[in-house]
Amino acid sequence: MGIIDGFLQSHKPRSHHIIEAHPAVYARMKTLGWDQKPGVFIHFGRWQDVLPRLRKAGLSFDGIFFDTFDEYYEDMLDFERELSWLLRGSGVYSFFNGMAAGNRFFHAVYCRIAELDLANLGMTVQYEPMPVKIDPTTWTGVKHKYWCLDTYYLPACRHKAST
Amino acid sequence: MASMESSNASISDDDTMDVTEASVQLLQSCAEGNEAGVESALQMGADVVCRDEEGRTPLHFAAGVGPLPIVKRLIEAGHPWNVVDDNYLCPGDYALQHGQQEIAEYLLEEGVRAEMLLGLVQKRKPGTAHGDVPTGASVNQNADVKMDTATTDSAGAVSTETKEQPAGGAYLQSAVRFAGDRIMDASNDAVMMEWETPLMQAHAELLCPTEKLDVLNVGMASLHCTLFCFLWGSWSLGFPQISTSFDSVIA
Repeated sequence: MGIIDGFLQSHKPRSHHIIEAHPAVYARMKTLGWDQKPGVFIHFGRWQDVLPRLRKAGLSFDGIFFDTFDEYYEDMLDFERELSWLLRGSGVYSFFNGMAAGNRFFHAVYCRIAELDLANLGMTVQYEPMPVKIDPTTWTGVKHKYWCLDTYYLPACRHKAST
Repeated sequence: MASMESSNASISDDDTMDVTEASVQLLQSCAEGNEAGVESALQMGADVVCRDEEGRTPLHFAAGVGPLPIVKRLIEAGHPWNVVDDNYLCPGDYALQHGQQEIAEYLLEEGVRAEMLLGLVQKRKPGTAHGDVPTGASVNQNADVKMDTATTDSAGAVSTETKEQPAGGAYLQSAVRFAGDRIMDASNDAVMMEWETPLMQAHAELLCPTEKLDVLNVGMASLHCTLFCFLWGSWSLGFPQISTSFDSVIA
């Protein structure tokens, strides 16, 4: 669960599935009543364990968001290998694009790698640039300044057949 | 090695030049865009990833000055594409800063090639390289990205994690504390910040062009996001409202 879930709710989805791996967060979500919201389905566990259940239930989605925080690039790629059945033909997949964000050139390299890997999976990627405004004092007391980009490249990924 | 550093008597005699002198020549030749000088320095045994006082290597200079053949020669000689200087800049940054578009493109393709090759043999977490990076090493410097895990050190050791290790294991177990509008994990790294909110809003708009869609959010270890939301108030049922600006978005 994350900030995006509040925004997703504002678009009045028919169904809104959330895969949550952290026990404390899962408990907190229930306390806050997220599990009682109409159309909201919370799946507790790592996505690697949850996806087979979704597949068995015959579920697929119009919009999918993946937050790469704390995962390896290869984990995201493993997830993307499942999009062939998980993402509907006309659906959109996006991920939090913080890949190698501590250096803009490394970031560019990883944006290109993601594009190539997704192309191999039959998908196209468009990066929509967005300005990022960070107050310099934001980093006071922060050990790693993990973000040095002044532009965010919002990825929009679609099945090739749909574009 | 003191004698090496102070040696300057025989600088004109190629046969007796030592590694340090050859390395100095390599740096100078790269800064001048002197292909012949680069070649002779390499022949004399220069350290291809030697550094100046600001941590810049021959490739930093070559990338900013050109021409492309020198850049290619250094890569060929084993210089990693992703070494960063004391200002955290890699050769590709220098190429861009100095308008060397062709060189930047070459280094980007080299980076893609090296990283994808590396991806075939080990997991990597895209991060920010710093310090010395062995040839063929990834930008993957685990300790450098948002969190420290028990398996990495602050020197930015190259990833050696195996497939067996659950992704995000350390983060899932780490303590989290509040610090104003920032969320820190136990190692004091920033994990979620206010400025990411408009980005998340844009993601949601992309995924939901209309109402009545079926959507899925896969948060691997999104404790940071959630606590951020707890802090900021509620898009949830009956939770006390703290932030009007955030709530208005989802009202």
